[in-house]
Amino acid sequence: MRHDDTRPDDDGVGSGGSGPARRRGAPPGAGTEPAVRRGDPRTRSGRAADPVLRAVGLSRTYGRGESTVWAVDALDLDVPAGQTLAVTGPSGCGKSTLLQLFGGLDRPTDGEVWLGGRRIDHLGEQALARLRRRAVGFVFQAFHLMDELTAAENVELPALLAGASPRAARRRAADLLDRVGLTDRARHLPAKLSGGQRQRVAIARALVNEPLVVLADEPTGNLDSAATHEVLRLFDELRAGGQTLVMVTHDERVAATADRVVSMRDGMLADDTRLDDGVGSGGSGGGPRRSGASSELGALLGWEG
Amino acid sequence: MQDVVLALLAKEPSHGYDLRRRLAAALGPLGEPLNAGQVYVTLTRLEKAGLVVQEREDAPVRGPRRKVYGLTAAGQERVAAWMAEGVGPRADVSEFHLKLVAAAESGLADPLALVRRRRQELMRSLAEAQRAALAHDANSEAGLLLEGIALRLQADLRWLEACARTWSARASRGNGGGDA
Amino acid sequence: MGRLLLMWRLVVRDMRRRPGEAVVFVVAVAAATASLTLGLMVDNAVAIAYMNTREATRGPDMTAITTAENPSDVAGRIAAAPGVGAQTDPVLAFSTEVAAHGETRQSSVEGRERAPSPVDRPLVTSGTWVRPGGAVVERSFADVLGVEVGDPVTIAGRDYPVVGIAISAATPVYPWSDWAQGPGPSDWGGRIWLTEDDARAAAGQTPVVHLIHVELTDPDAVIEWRETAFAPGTRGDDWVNTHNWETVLRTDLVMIKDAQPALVVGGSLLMVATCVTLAALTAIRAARDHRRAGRLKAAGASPGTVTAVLLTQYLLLTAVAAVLGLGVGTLAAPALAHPSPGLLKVLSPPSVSIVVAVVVLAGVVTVLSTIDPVLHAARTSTVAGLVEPARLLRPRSRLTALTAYLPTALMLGVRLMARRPGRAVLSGVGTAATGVMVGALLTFRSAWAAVDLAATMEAVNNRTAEVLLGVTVAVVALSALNTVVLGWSSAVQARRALGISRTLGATPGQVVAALCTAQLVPAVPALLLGLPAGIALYRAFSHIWVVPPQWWLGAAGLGTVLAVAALTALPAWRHARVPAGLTLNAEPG
Repeated sequence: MRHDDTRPDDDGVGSGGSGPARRRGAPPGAGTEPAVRRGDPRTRSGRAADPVLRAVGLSRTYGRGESTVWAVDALDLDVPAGQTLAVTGPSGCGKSTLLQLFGGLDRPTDGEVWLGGRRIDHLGEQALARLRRRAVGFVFQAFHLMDELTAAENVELPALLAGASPRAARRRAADLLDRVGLTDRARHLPAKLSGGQRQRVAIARALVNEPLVVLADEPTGNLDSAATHEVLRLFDELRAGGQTLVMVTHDERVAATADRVVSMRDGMLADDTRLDDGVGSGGSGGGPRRSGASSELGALLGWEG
Repeated sequence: MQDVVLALLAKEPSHGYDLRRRLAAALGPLGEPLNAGQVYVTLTRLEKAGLVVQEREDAPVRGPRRKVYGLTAAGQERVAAWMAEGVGPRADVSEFHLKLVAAAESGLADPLALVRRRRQELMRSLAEAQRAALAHDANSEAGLLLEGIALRLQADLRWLEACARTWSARASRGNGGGDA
Repeated sequence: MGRLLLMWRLVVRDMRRRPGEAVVFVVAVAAATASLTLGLMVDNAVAIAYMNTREATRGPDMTAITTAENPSDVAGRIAAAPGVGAQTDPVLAFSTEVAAHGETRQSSVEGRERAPSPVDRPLVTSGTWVRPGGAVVERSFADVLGVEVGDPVTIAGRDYPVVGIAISAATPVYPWSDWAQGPGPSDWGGRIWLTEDDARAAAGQTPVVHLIHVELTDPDAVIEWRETAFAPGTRGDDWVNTHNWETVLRTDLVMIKDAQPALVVGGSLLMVATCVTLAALTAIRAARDHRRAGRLKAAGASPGTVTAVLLTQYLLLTAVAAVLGLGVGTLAAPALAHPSPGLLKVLSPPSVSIVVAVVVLAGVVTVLSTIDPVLHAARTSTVAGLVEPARLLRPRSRLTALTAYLPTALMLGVRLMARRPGRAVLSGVGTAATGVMVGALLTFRSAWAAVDLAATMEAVNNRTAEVLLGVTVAVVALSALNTVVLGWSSAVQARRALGISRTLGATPGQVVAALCTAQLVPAVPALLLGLPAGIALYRAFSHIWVVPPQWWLGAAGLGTVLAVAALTALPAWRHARVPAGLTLNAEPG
């Protein structure tokens, strides 16, 4: 049974369950969770190339005093290059906040965020904006396309912001719209597109500056199952192309398409599962892991034993 | 059933009546059809297999005399093995639920660890199902089947989320499960 | 390059999506800049009109008027003085009553030769120059008399056909044209030319004067010249009076003396009203701009880029509006500043300083009214920008308790207003500006109704009345626009709250009444302040001042309040027509 060779869970993941970083009472079950141990990512840095994303003791609180809410609580996490990571958890567990911290949309209360080997948590809005347009592509649940711009213009937007020439931006946008299969919709305004089409435009837009990482916040949250299928296929292609991708989702079926799933509870990591047969942190491409697919399915259907 | 009864005896020896009461509490309305006879039959079979042994007979002030059973060494081994192995991809909800209850009662395993492991199993299965689904047209016959499999796995995963919540809340209260 | 293209795209697309907002913006700013341009150009326009007329008619730098029997002494003295470029022979003139179409006016009658004189050559604008038995009437006077070529005028009991209409810069326009009066207080009057013989015959026993028009080599030194040529003790026994060209210009400017403050004050009030419009517009746009800013930032735009995009949009519109306003002001200036038909009408471009002043002021107004929301949108963290701005309702328990006993509509209205005190202030300021203008207009009307005016001054006062009315109409129109925009924006922003009220059972009528209440509560005190302020303001600019009758003020106040209610009800009604459920789901903005 392949289930039994579960990788140890000390893979750069920690719940922050012990040590001086804890600033709250012991979390529920913290003491009885031997399987989730605090791992210090710094000890791993020599083992692989620098991770694209790294959180060290990351915390983000809202409010003060008694009413303080710990959206993210002393969290450590590494995302190696080429990995697709799904962050799941119940609503309010802090997964969206984590994504915003990773993308420089929000600043942590404490701890460090590293993006592409550079620490970003102390950068100003201006520097973050520059970083975002170069290194990060966002995909949102609500798409967040500019309503007044056409699909192609939306895709061009980050390229133009990053200083690309209009001609280069147009060419890249055309390529990407072709990739997401929307060439014939390039001149449509978002209002004239279906939800799935809008999200594909948003994905093309996120990719236009060839970012280090694509951050997707509930990318299928507003989509029906057919559109979800389209978006997930697109993500699968990105994964095959070696694109680092972090997506936040409450949908286990979406999370299951990632290389790795971490689940969060109360601002901390509760679980970390590799789904890519442990190919390794730098593992790229979905090719090898697809080979032995049917054994699990066979078990599900009761054709084994 | 046999494994559950064994696990319930792991912490301390007990008699059939008490075992039935604890099973009924864990199963709620689903446990109603369970009668004392079934528990005694199970105990008798386990005893024959050499997994349990009758230790003594309690004579309460009122009511019938009760046979108190305890685990043998072989029984201990069997329980430990059961706790260590997964329930399998097609296990149903009550099966895993009883295992969690038994784990908490016996103290042989951490229910949260079991949940986590189960979650990983299901996640992997779901990953396979989803990968297969992405390779197929969603409207094809195969796609439909895969969708059904994925939805069931998703339902199981969501239930596990509820298990994790409940058991971690109990763990923090420090009573390690105990009688519900 | 790419970034410029992007900004252009964002700006143009947004305008195309919301052309109404752009139009309102341009109209408001253009109205204010136009009236400001007018106010600044009027002075200039009168001077330019006078200078042009002076040029075209070879207007004198100085005119000497003498009662001497033999004016050649005076003429000789002038000729002998240094600095004289040219001079006319003494022109015989007398002041008499002239009748036309049954009306009688004072006028000077000058006897002129048929050949053009070296100085003061009246420009004939219709008909011909004097001929025996035919009179030429100065154009501003002809306008008042209502005569045209061919009509008869009666001078000293004899009818003369009008053979021509002419303009001249030698004297001010009607009613200051009669310089043929001797010593003593002079009367208002016009100017008529006859041939010398006809004039002499018509004068009869009337005392006559002689006018000598002089052109100096240095027109700017006219005062000094007079001091030397007519030094005390050198005048002899004859009465000699002199008028120089600067006096003529200053007198011409009196025509617009009352109109100009109306334009300047009106222009400032229009600016205030414009600020209100812009602030209301940006309030409407705030939620949308907030969202756009968030989305732009998520796509990698820096706060600077976001500010630039939003401000560029407003400043582009301001530039368009300023050009429009300058154009309208420039075109309207000759009509308004043209004090009378006695001067040549000319279209002159505004001076560079006026253009700069108007554009800068418009820019400042725009930036002041929009910068706060723009910066707010640019500065808010991107995450906050992406979620809908959910305004937390601060509980105002005392207000809630106080309003609990009011009828539902009133209660909703007061609570709405308390939620948006800024809007209440805006709405109040807009209404107050209207109140000021209406108050000033009423005071003007009552003042001139109370004073028995010389008929000759009507021309001046009609001009002032026209300007005051025009400015008032502009301010009222802009205030009406403001009321609609404010009503619209409160309907937009209160959409959710009122939608919830409606699901709880409030009728559309109650919702409309609530929105009206929210607008009217600030409007009433604003009017109570604005109307008296207008009356007081009028006093600051006018020597004649009468408080308008109370019922005028009451009616004006009531009318304004009703107008505000009606204009608010319009967008509110539109809002209330939508089914309640839709208002809850709809995206704001």
